[in-house]
Amino acid sequence: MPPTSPADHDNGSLKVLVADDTQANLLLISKFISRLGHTVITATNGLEAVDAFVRENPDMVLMDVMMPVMDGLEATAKIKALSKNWVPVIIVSAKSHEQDQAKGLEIGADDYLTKPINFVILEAKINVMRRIAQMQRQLAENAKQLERYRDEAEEEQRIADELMKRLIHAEGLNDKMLQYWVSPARRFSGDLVAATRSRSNDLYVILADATGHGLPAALNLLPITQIFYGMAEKGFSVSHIAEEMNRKISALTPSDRFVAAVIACVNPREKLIEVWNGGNPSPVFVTEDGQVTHQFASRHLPLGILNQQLFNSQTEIHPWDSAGRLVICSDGLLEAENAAGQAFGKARFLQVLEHVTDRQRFISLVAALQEHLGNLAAHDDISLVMVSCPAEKEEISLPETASGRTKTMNAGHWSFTFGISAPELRHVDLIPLLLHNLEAMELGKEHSSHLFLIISELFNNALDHGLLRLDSTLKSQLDGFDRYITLRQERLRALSEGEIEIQLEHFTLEGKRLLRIRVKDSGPGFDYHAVLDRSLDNNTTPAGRGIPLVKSLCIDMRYDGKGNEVVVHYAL
Amino acid sequence: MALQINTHISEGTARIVLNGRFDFNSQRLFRSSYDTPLGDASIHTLEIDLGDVEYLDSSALGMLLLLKERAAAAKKELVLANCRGTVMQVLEVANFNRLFTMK
Repeated sequence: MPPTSPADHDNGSLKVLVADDTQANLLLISKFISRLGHTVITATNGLEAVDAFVRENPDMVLMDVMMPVMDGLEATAKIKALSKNWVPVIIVSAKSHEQDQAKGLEIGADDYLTKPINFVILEAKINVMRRIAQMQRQLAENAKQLERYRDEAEEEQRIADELMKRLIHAEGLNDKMLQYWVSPARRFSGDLVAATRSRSNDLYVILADATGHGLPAALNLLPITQIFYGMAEKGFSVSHIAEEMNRKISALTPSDRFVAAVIACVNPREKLIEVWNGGNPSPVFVTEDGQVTHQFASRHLPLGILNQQLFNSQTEIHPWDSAGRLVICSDGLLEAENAAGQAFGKARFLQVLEHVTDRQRFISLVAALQEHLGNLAAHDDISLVMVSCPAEKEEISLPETASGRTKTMNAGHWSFTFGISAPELRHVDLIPLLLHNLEAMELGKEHSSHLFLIISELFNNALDHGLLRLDSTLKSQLDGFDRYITLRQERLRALSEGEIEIQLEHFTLEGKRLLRIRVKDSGPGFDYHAVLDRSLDNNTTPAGRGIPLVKSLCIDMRYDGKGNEVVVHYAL
Repeated sequence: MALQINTHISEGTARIVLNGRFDFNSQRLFRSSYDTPLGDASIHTLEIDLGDVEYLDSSALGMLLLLKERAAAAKKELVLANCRGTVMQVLEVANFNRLFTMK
């Protein structure tokens, strides 16, 4: 920072350097200027004036021309070259010719006053110069401030960009089931695309579009990614993830900020897609032969607007039959305008999807969009995600035989029991919590997905069939799946009594580490003999597949009581 | 076209008519258009006329949310009028028809 000049003082007094080799003139001018309330520094030749200028940093200079050692013109030129800020120099000279005046101004002086000095004019000129100096300082200050703002904004933008890049290019997106394309715009909203696999190998995908741009948008998306990865990996339901995100964004961001989002869970074992869509264009399911068989319309307000009481986390579940792709995009894609101001539009989007081969679907859509945009930059971020949904159910890898496993440690005996009853059953996502506890016991990561599967299958059976009395054969009927889901939601909401108990017990038997899992519900039970006899191979219906699967993962399985209690042993 | 706003006041209703692109750049203009009516005790209803809005983005939705909050605090009715075409589509995708009174 350069030293602040006395002119910054409120009283407006200046420090004026007066250079004149005639003592009488020097005295006269100095006295006059002092009387005006300014401070005076004197010099008797040009060289002294330059020295005094450097030393004293005056606000204004009154310069005689004809002086010994160094004349006023040379001194003026030197002073002008030396000064960092604009310091007015007024030449006061006996030379009154127009050429002399012009020469003085040319060399850099700001004004010219002829001797004998007219003090009324001198005072007026000092005042004018002071006004100009103040304006100059103000301008310089403004420019500096603008520069500071610009630097800050650029720095923020850089951090935001970096943040967004890292959020978007997270590892989970490199999934064999997934293709994505993100084209960030210079202006407007920040989009986020992220994906991850849960313990049970479900693919969770989120496409979120936050209001605003740059840093604020990225800040809005930060809690979302944390919740997404944290909860999806643990296998929390889409509803719970949406609820948690809504809660966080509502709590953290101002009321005019929100996030439109699609949260999807693709389950390749059951061939199910579950979607929560708040404020985003409808994701579509397009079959291999190019038919759009389902659209997941936006049924909710974006995240961060409604409070917890009003927020609706209900999802839409769609089973797929023949192979296809789930296509999710941000509104930036549909609204992308070409040179004529025409939007890409939903119709064109669907048309491209329907008229190319399956392998070309992704690349064709991107190409169509790029052709539409031409050389124009899109106004908004554009994001596109496609998830391939194969016709074949994904088989999960079966565990090796118990004897073939390495014994990781000489673990002891422990057990814990979870009991949960009707009110909590309606809205608590029990399985992830349970798995979290189980992981704390360090059973090894390789068991997580199997245990997740086993426990959630057994728990869901206890809930769906034990307590909610749902008939699983319903799922195999035409449109039965939707009815099943609707019925399940209705009955769960109405559930007023009943409980489920899950007991996990770890012990060692003949050198093998075993986990006993017992699930018991308070329902009336069922005829389990028929179900247990079914094997995984000869069962092709979507219903009742869970139990044989659990059976194949465990070393044994048995029902107890009237069928409301099931016990399995899993080898670690 | 950049947004233009005209306000007509009659019988306790401030009709704020928007024309052009309602987006991020309209923030200051839009805010200044409702500040006075919100502070005016003789006005009971604010009607935001979106009939001539060509385009509305998520920032505009945010501005409407903010206005909704302000209007509720000032105990004034808020109505969105003449929503159609693209504007209606955007409002519907965001399910804003559940939050706002539409006319």
